[in-house]
Order: sequence, then structure tokens, then C-alpha cells
Amino acid sequence: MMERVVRLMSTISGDKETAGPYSVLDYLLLDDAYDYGELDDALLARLNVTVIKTPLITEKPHKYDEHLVARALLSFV
Amino acid sequence: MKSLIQTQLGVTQARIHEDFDLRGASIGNLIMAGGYLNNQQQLDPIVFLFSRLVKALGEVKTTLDASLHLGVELENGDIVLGQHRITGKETDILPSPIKRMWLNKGLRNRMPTNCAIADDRKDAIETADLICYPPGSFYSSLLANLMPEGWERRFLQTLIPKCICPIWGLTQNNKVYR
Repeated sequence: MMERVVRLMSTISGDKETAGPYSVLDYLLLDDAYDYGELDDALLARLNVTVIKTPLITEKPHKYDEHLVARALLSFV
Repeated sequence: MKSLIQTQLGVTQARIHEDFDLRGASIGNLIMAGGYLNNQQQLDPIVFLFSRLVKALGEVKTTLDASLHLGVELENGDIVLGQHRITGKETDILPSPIKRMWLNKGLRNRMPTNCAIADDRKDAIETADLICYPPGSFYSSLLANLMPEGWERRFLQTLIPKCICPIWGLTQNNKVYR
């Protein structure tokens, strides 16, 4: 998970500086009870990525509930 | 709807070889492939049509409507061209992690190329309330959509919040502790 977050951010930003208020990733939205593996909280903090954990999985154990995901995404705006 | 879907599937069926192995194929991809072949090999028209037919909320647009392949360089220096050779579904799993990826012209030689996204895609980025990175395979879906030129700069110059709800960690081996 962490390697891919870093790879995603470096792919978008490339060699360019992202100084100031701009960012390429602000939020990592995760189910609050799923085991995604180890998260490096210190690294995420340095990258200014906020982890938001909320219920996203209901009946199917390895699939997100689309209504819960939509509700979570709408809460950002 | 039924007739429209059957028409696109019929086009796909007419264009594939008899020994084409359809097992495991995505029915949605087969429908889109038929629509692509049936519309002078343009993807945008069939995406627009089916987004309306399934009553998708909002607008559905491709990142890029161009015929290109994915190319990757592995950590061990190997070059692999073609998504079907990268995902490990049709060929062996890659022997080494992916080091970098690009859009390639053709499948025979390493020919990095690129296309710029259309103006309406740029406008969509700049006027969005929220940018949510797409789900799907990390390299062949997510990063592939980030390859075209023209939108990374806009990303870096916008204050629009950006988030991702990753499916990378969702495997049968993991557990829900609820």
C-alpha cells in the first residue's frame, strides 16, 4: 500500500516541485475495519496525506459498498 | 438495450478468431470492443452511448481516445511491451518489479510516444469539486490513465482536494476486523 501511494504521487509530480498549498494526493480513504497491511503513519504525515477510515465494506468481504463509497466521497465537497 | 448490447457483441464475435479464448473475459469490455470496432475504431462514441444507456450519473469520458500500448521497463532492465504481457493474466508473471511505464507506439519496438488530453478533459479537471483517482489495477488502469500529457501540470496547480479509495489491498487473503 505505501509503495503504491508513493509511486502514485511521484508519477504525477515527477521532478516538479509541489510547493505551497498544492498537492497530488490529500486523502487516503479506507474501510475502518479492513486489514490493508501496515500503514506508515509518519511517512503519510510527511507527504501531507490524511488517512480517513470509515465503513466502506458491508456484505461482500472484499468489495466496497458503492453507496458507502459515494457517501464518503461526497463528504469531501 | 438488449438489442444494442447484442449488436456490439455480434461485432466482437465476428472479428475474433475461432480459437479466441473468451474464458474470464469481461462482458463489458467485449461490448465496448464491439462498439469501438463498429464506430471506425473510436472509443468516445460508444462510451458516450453506453453511459447514457446505463443512465450513469454525471459524465463519463475517456482520458484519451488513441490507439497506443503500454510499455514498461523492469528493475532488471527488461523491456515489456503490451498490457497483455504486463498483467500476468495471459503470460507469466513479470520476473522483476516495474521501474517505469510509458505509452508506446506499436508492440514490436520501444517507441515511447504520447498524446495530450482534449480541452474538455482539462476543463473537467479544473472545474471539479473533488478529484478521486480511479480504482482498478495499479499500473494498467490507474497509472495508465496518468500517462497522457497535459493534465499533470493542471493537477499540480489546483487546490481541488484529491483522494484515492484503493482496491490494491482488497484480496481474499485479507480480513475484515469488524
